[in-house]
Amino acid sequence: MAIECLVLGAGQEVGKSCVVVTINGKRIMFDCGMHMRYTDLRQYPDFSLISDSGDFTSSLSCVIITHFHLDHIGALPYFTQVLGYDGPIYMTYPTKALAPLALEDYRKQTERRGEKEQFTAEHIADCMKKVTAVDLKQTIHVDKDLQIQAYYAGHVLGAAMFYAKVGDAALVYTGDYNMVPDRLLGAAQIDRLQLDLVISESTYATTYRDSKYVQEREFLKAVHKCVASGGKVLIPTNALGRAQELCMLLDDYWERTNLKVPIYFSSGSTIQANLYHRILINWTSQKVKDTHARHNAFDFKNVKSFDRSLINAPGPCVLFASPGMLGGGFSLEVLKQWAPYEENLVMLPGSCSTGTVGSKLMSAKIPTQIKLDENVKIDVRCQIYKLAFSAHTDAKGIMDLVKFLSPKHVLLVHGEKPKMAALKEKIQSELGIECCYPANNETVTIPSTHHIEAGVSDAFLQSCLAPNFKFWKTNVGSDERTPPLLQVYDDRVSQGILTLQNPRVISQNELRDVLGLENHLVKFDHCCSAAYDSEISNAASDWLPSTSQRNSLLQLLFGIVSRDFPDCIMHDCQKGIQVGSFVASMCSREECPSGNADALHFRCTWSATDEELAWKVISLVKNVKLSSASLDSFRVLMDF
Amino acid sequence: MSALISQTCLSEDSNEEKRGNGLIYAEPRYRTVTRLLSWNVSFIDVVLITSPNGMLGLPFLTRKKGFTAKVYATKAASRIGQLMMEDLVYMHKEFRQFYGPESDEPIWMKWDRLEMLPLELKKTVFGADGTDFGCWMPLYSAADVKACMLKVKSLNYAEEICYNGIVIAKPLPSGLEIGSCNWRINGPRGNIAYISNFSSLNALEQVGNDEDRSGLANYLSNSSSADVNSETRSALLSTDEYLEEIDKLDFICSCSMDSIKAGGSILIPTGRLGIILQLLERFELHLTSENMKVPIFVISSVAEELMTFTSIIPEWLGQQCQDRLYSEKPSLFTHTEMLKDGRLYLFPAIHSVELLKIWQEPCIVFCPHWSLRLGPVTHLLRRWRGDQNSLLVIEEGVDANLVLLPFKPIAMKVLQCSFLSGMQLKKSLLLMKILQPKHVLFPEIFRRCVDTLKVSLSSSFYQENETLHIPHTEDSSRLHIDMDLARQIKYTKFEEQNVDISRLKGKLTVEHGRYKAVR
Ligand SMILES: [Zn+2]
Ligand SMILES: [Zn+2]
Ligand SMILES: [Zn+2]
Repeated sequence: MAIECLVLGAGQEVGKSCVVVTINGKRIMFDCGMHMRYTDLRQYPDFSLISDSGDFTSSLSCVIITHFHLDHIGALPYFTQVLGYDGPIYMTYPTKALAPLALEDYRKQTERRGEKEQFTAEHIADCMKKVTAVDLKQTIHVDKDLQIQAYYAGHVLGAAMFYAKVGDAALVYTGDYNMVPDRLLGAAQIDRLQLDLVISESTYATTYRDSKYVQEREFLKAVHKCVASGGKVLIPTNALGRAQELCMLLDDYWERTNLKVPIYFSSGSTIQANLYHRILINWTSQKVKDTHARHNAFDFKNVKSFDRSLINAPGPCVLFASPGMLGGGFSLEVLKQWAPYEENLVMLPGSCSTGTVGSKLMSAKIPTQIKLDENVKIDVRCQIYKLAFSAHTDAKGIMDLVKFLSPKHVLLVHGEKPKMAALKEKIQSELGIECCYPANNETVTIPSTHHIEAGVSDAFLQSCLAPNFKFWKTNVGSDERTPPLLQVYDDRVSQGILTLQNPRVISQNELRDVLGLENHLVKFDHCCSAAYDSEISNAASDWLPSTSQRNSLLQLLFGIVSRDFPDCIMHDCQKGIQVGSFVASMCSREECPSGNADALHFRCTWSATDEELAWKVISLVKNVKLSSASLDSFRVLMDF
Repeated sequence: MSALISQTCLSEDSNEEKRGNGLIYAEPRYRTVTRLLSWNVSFIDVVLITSPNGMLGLPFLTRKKGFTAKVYATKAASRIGQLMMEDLVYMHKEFRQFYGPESDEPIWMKWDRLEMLPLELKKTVFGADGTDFGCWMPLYSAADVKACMLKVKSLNYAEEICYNGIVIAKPLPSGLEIGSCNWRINGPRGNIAYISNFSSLNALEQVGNDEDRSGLANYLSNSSSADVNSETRSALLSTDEYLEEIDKLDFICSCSMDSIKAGGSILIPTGRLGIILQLLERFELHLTSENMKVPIFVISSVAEELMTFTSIIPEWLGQQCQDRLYSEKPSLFTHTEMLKDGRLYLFPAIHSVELLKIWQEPCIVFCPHWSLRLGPVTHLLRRWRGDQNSLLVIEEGVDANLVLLPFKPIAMKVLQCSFLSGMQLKKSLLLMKILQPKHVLFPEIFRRCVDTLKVSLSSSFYQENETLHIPHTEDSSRLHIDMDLARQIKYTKFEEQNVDISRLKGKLTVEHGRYKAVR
């Protein structure tokens, strides 16, 4: 059996995440993203590789979306409404609530740019109706064999890693994740699972970062400095995620420092996104959750909505405007007005696509001029601040997660090729786990766990699960005077018999039933050791007990058992003691039928009718404590 | 097998002083499972909670010495349950502030007083077999509640917990209240479904979907449920009951409208969050359509917490509320809007200064406690009992005569109304048809119905304080032998018996409900 991974996107690059995994006959699509660099069909994964006929509904068991970023969900409306996939789609509640906003925001932007739109507002709405929302840790049975489960990923609100299992084969697809908590979100959280494969993002495959709290402080300091000297702060962001995170930081800071400078949101969809965040507060960090009863962190106290007339109003302010990369729209419009003044500040997002104004500003030396088109140039004299925030885990986080999950294989996606190569080396050498990072449209096959199933007898389970403690002494060092160290270990190696016909595992003692050697009376047979204390067990290893020693040991047992079972009798020839059909006699390593390695122990037999009684007596037998004191009594008896 | 207790319920008796009406006048005492006192609680391994109401007696259990069991509840149930317990403790505190503290042995519990009790009350006090008297306990303290909540592990719907490696339990939505659930328990030698309710009709609470149910079925019986015809399935999911429920709520609303028009106020003493939320929705519709402006008050020490909590839990709600989350103006309940524009007010207590400032009649008041012995309801009832235009809505199941006794004579209108609170037998039989269990335990009160319906089910009946032994449904446990180990298997043939056997030597692990043999 094997797991087959077809990487349709985010193979050795960041963008259009999409991996189709075939696992024990089930086929799952993880993420259905879009590449932001292209505007034609190249922005989508090559879906034709899934099915020649184009019948996606029957060739996939389900589609799973990890979070609302367009590089993970952007192609979904196209896949369902244009290509006609009609099977189950899973995502978390927040993703289901926020994804339409993100998609609609993007659609409007392309519309504004006058590009041909790939899907309509109606497509988005109809697509979202097909989505099943899931909660974290909820076990979802997609069908009889396929089970999935979402885990907290801490990347954006509602981001999840997904676990999928078919039979014994299991994998985790991480999506984007963050291993350290920040103001808005907690850190990724997952159970220790038995995994054949982990498919992990690797955006920062070789980067090691400081704590985010430091970066948050820096950001606040920069904003405060600007508004304190009367400047205006422009924060170009998309409607979702980053805007709420930064605004939460600012609103909280404003409260603490009693600042009265207005904070504005330009876009209606940002304000709507705030409403969603307020309802979905259970998906945020512990701190935000804990304080929400007093004050919901998304109920921003200092935030007002913006109108155009305020662009040139006097006095300091902070403005959130979309789009994030200054590719056009309102944020660019404001930039034109504010950039020429030294006291103003522009907060650039962590990364900007090449060709956008954002990326030009990123590399510019201030003061400078930026060319928008043939006729328009902007004088840039304002301060530029690059947000170093990232919601992705760094290399340490990836290593930590992989080490924690200890899968048999790791597959890297969502990263840059050379860095992925370095991380692969690290995972293989440091963790000893196989690792690969296929390119787009490549298929990788990974072996998966398999098992055979058999029935199992209670006696076998009991014999395996009851602790089987062994003791031995070791001498530490050569110094004779130091007392030997007593070591105890639980030697629970299971030994049983597997039958081929009607596969079943039984204990050695049950074998004769299967073979029908004593057909007339089903008899059980069990060898159990008494609890030796350290000294005697040490002696026991090469101890050949005499007959009288055997007898006195049996007497000791008789004394103990007859206390609880008054009808217990001792056989004349001192062969054993008996309660009902239960008989305990002495057995030794040499003669033991079931291979018990203790020099001297008890062999118990009983017929099926006395099963319950037998185990009660056996528990007593096991408690016969053989101490050096009882050994002394042997000696006394012997001398006698 | 682990000892499992499901639900610690609280049965309460309300007592008022003898005023010629045979009532006891004292701080209410409580009685929980009679056997609780004689149990060795250290033998309990797991406690499973099915609803917020089902955990009101939990602190009595968890505070017992030697209690070490794991307690599991859904996140929503444990939060709401905690708030309900805190509210109850608060009401008792208020009661004592009002009437003074009580001695360890209240006067009514002295033997000569007990002798004088009327027959009905004696029955309650001593129980049917006369052994219950010692079980009457004063309410637990706030500290007990706090300690109890620390022992509760809360889960999402369909989140699995694994006890001891081998028993797996999973709460599935039951549709009765927010956070209420049925439990599916899987063990190596059989699977159990504990069904406290199965309701497909509630718009507000999340309802078990088809997949969950078939999940239940498979595990309960290991038989295919594919042959269940779709008719049975759709009958189970019929919306008739839902419409009936809405009719009932609308009836309460229209009675209320009439009372308000005549200048009366509406008093609804209930602690059931689901009912309050549904009624708020209906009231909003009725008031808007009649163009009436009447303030609605929810008065309880935890009103604010409850309403805040309900506005952030889309995962725990039914389709109707979830659809609102995905709409243009996301909000789960109308009450968020109503609070904002001053149609709904939340107050911790009746004597809040703020409340007195804006108080206006007629109005609609939701407040605890259904027993009419504790909380704001006692004050409001005294205020309005003489007003024939005012309306009191109480739940069916309480003895109206008894609860109203201290307030007589009463001119106020009383509407007793049954809210849906569980599954009807007919429906549960239908459910059994789908689940096809090997054995069913019904409560004793169902015995005659089940007998007369001649259901072809292996069933037995349970009653309080009785232990039932149910045989294993599986003949033996299953073992997964890892391929690495399986490859080493070499069979030897025993010609005479025609059996092939092989020695199997490895390590046995117990993980997530499964025995595994590995190399
Ligand atoms: Zn992302
Ligand atoms: Zn991404
Ligand atoms: Zn032996």
